[in-house]
Amino acid sequence: MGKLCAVTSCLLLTVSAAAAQTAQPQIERLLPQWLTGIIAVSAFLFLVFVTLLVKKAWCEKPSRSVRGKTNVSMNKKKTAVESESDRENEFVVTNGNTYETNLDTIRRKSTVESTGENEFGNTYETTLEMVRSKEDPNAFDNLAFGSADDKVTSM
Amino acid sequence: MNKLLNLLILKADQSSSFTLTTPNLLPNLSSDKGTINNPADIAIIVGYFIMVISVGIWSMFRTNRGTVGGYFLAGRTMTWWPVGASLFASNIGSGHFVGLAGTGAASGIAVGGFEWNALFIVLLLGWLFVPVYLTAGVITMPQYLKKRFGGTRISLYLSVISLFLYIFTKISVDMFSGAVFIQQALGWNIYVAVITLLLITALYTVTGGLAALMYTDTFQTFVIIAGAFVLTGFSFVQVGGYSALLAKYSSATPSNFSSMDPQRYNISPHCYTPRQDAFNLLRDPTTGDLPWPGVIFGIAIVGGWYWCTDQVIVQRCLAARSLTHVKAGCIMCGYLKLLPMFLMVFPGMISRILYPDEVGCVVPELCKMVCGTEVGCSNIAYPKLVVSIMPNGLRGLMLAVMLAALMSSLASIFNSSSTLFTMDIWTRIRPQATERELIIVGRVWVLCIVAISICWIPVVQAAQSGQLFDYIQSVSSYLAPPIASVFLLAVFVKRVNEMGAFWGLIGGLLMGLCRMLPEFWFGTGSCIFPSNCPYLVCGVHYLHFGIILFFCTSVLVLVVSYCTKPIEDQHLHRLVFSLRHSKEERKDLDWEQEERGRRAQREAEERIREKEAKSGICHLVRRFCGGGGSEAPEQDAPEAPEKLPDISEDPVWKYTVDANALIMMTVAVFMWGYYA
Repeated sequence: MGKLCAVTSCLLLTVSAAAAQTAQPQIERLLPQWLTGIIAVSAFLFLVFVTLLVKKAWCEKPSRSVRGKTNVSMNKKKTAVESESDRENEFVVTNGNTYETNLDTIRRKSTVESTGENEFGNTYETTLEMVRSKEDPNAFDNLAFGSADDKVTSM
Repeated sequence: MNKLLNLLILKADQSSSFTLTTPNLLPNLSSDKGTINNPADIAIIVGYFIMVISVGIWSMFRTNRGTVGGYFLAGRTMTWWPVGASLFASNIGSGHFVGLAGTGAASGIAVGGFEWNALFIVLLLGWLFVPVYLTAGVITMPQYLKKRFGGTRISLYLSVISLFLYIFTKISVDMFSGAVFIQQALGWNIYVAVITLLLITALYTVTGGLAALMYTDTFQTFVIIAGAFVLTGFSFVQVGGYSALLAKYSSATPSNFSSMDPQRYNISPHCYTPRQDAFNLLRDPTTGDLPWPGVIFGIAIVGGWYWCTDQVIVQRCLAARSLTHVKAGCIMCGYLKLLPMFLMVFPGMISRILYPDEVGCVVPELCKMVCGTEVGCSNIAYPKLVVSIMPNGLRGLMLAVMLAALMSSLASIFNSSSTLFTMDIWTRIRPQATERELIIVGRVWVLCIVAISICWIPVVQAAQSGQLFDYIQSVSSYLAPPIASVFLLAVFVKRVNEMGAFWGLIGGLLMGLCRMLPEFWFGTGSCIFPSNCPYLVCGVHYLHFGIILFFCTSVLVLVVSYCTKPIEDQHLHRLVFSLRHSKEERKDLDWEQEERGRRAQREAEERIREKEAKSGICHLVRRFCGGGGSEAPEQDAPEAPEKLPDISEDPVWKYTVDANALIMMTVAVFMWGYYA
């Protein structure tokens, strides 16, 4: 916007400088004033749009790796319950549109967590992902069977 | 001293000279046009003062003024509308009325760029800087620098230079403009008028603290805008409409423009002809009086200092209830800042069209007769309109408007300078000061600075140049850019450390003084008698110099910081923009000093409680001044450091506020494009 206005004003000033010195009421404008205003507004809105796009692209890509790292490090310091609520807060405060990814990532991490640790205070323990069997996508494992030790009596 | 007396005498019989040189006044005005002495005007002025004092008293009972937080930060309970109104009223002083109108009369609308640039800077304040200041939990700006960098020399330097800048730029200019107006409109003795005003202002500042100020500022904003609208309406009617303004301004030349003493000087036509680019905001970079790179970037830098790093403005944002209220207040202030172009600059230009021989006078002897200075009389543009155009009753309203602007700005500056002095300088001298002592010291300092301001009036009168606004802006351009640069880097660049910031500030100050002192020595000169300041010193326009100074200081800060040891992250949580949400423990760089201070304070309070004799009068005085007993402050003191202000925002309101900011920026860009 600054460059455009600079060009416009330079043009106008050179026009006026070339004109006669006496009693010229004002600098003759090439474009009507409302038009320069509209042009400035459109340039500004375009810049805002581009900035939003850049911000969206920038914040989405490194966020996955960044979040994973911070979660692992925070897990080591605090208990499971606290770290989940902290992560929730972080998502809500730093990124306005996290609602779609919020539960997903927590769910995913809770599965990572619950397989590694105890499920005390873990509210997302019951997901179908945990018990989905590997052979058939529509079949689910029975945990009771899977975890039981085979007791073989020697003959 | 003789010259001063002559000036005062000339000013005293100006009212009579006015009747001689202004024959085209409306016939139904009262016979002595210099004074306001009819019942309607007096009733309005008295009513205005009663309203202000009653708002001040009402707000006294709303907040607890007994604690430091309650007195200096209004208890952090303000909603968005007092914040926005107070930002506007603290900024707009009588200097704006006189200075904007005068410079508008002399050189056109580009001076309005100073106001319209602030629309964007005030958004920077709300979105980028205040979140950091809020989570840092500081009351004053030097305190923030102390926490951010450690050490004491930076905060001491900033306190001293801020107080210096307040006296030299804000207080003196506002009082001078107020005095000009009072002289023109009332014909009173300057000292009587100014002392009365200052005492009334000091009264509600001293007793009420920031809360009283912000609520009275809201009322003053209404008065300012209403009155200014009325005057603008009348002046447009008088000149014949907006298109008439456009057409007639370029032919507003005085009738006397030939030199009275051709041996001494000659008057070239460009000294009294209105500028050709008068209706352009953006002017030629080399020949314009306000070149467009300077207007866009230079004013942004000085504005960055004024809005984002200066105690007066930031203190109002810190008093808000939550971050959303801060942002909404900033947006409201931005919208209000659209108005001065139409309420002050255009009427100034209309004044030149209507009274070209007074406002646009060019012959030095004539100018001296009209307004007392040889340089030019554009400063009287606004008061002239008030005295000449406004009918009875409304002149009283306009006087109330000027008083509102003057008192609100002065009160804000008094309060903030007392905050700075109390929290930064006094606590260093006496770390064991109790809360009660701090509040008393704050109040006494206000009275001291009132006395200093009164003593400063003759100096400003003697040094008056034709263009008042230019004077403030040029002094700011020489001294403020280093501070803006250091704050910007402190908030956004973690690598900057104490050595870098300190040497950057000192280097910037030296550079600024290298330009400022010679320019004041040689004098700014006028169109007829140009100053003989060498091109090397004064050739660069002051706004361009501000840009250069900003970049040089930034480079210096970064170079010195990268060559010395960095500050670790553990000291920087919630002190920089990138770490503003972090919830980790912060190890304060100044914790030793604070710990010592707190221990000394606790011991002092215990000693006071032991030997306190509760007499009746003592108790009464304490109730009036708002100290609610010695129990309340102690409960607050240990709490205050632990309770961190919350900068989380409700997402719905966050989006509303962001959308509003975008709309405001669009409007601002359209106005800039329209008048470019």
